[in-house]
Amino acid sequence: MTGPGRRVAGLSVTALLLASCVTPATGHDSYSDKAVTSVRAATSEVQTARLVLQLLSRHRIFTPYADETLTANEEAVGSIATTFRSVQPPRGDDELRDAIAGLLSDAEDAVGHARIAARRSDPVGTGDAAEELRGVAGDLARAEERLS
Amino acid sequence: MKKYFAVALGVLTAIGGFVDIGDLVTNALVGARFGLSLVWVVAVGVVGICVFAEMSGRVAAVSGRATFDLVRERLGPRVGLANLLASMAVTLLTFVAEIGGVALALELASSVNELLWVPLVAAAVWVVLWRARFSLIENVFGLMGLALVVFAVAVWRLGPDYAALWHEATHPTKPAGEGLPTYAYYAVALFGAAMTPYEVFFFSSGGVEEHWGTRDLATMRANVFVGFPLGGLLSVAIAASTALVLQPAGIEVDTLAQVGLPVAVALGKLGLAVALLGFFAATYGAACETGLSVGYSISQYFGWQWGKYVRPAQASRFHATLLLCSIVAAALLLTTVDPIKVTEYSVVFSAVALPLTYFPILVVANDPDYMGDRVNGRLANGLGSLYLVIILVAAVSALPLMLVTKAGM
Repeated sequence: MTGPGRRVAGLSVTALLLASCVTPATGHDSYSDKAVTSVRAATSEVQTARLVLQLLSRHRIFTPYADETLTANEEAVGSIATTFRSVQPPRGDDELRDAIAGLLSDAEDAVGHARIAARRSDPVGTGDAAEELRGVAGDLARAEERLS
Repeated sequence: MKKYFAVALGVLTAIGGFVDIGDLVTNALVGARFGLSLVWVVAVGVVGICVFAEMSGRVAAVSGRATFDLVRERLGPRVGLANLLASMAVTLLTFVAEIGGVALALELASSVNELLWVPLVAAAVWVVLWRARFSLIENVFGLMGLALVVFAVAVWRLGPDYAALWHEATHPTKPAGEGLPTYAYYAVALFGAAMTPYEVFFFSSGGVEEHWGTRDLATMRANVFVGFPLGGLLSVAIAASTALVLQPAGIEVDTLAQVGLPVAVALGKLGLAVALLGFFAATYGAACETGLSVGYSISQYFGWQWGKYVRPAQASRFHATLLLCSIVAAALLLTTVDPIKVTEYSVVFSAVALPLTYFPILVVANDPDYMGDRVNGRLANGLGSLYLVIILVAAVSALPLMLVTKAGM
């Protein structure tokens, strides 16, 4: 490979690596953006879990399909929470960190309860989990509104 | 009668075989996030793939040789090697994504973890590539892929406001809350998914496998100009279904399971079962096509005997390549890499590799030494040149957009 070719290849690899990295928060705005991104991603997982429970209660989805979807949701929301907690908050943003981390933790619990209820084919547990998810979805929506 | 049957079968398999894991995931993801505001990209991509598939099919029918068999001879070993490396890397990545897609579809149906399915799927794909006839691979999975029509039925059952959908599709605007770079990034991804390089490798090499001659040009054109656009409509139906069900709920697509949820909402378990069959057929069929495409391109570059029309013993290096690809794909997926992420990256890298794939087709299709009086006409050259410009823009912008948007976040 020629010199310029090598440089282009090197830059491409660096770009790819950077594209998949979690960057540190450099100030309040950046940290706040990360919080919004995390809340939006968690909302997507919680809403997916709500939809799956609705379909399950109306017998419109196979249990293995529901189980796999909820398991993936639980893993995804856990990963979102871990990633957010791993970001170093700027001074003065500890309260924001605690609030969002708490919300994400609630979301993880709620999706976990949904998965457990679905796997047990437990109608009462499914109803309770749906209610819990509704509450968490509302909290996440309010948090996103405050942050945006 | 036999000819009409061949045309109908070709068109149906072209429709069913058009959608692969890249189209499934990217269209569902874009529909859930941008509604129908990026449908125009699918239309642009479908016209582009029709233009170049017709050219490569014509080259195969007239010269009796696959397009990329001629690239090294016509453009020299260096250009041929660049073409081979770029196209093959993307096609191999797509092959990995398709195998992962089959494993995910089986996981959804069985609740058995995808990682347990991966070695079995890779082995099953290899057995089909080794033993099954070419026409069987093309027709069976193409026809089974028609199960994805269930997405169009789901859209109809959801009873949308068609006027609003049409308006959104024909008056594209960036949704509020989304940045222009993100919108552009997904436009490039959709374009890459629609124009994936392996489609022309497979199409032109398949023409040689099936011994196309000039008498088959009409059938080939019917497959391309009717089958591919109808296949593109399936992609639009997938995007529309997620736009109707997932977008209002704020759901973003990051798993194959989410792609099927709108069908469950509209049609219940029966519809979901058909969608699962469609997922399986689309990904398995595309795994066979991409696997063969890798074997075709390597064998054609090095001048090895290739193809399913000869016994495996006569094309041993071609079949060894297929076996090696299956092993590499399984090994990569067993590292627990997310097949959906592989898919998302593969469609963007496809966009990067597009010029190296499509430029040589345009050159060969204009060479009278190979094509005689069947060289490109003005329309084919005009469209081909226009698309090369679009392809270059997509290729140059793909990686910077990936960096700026953190891969579409």
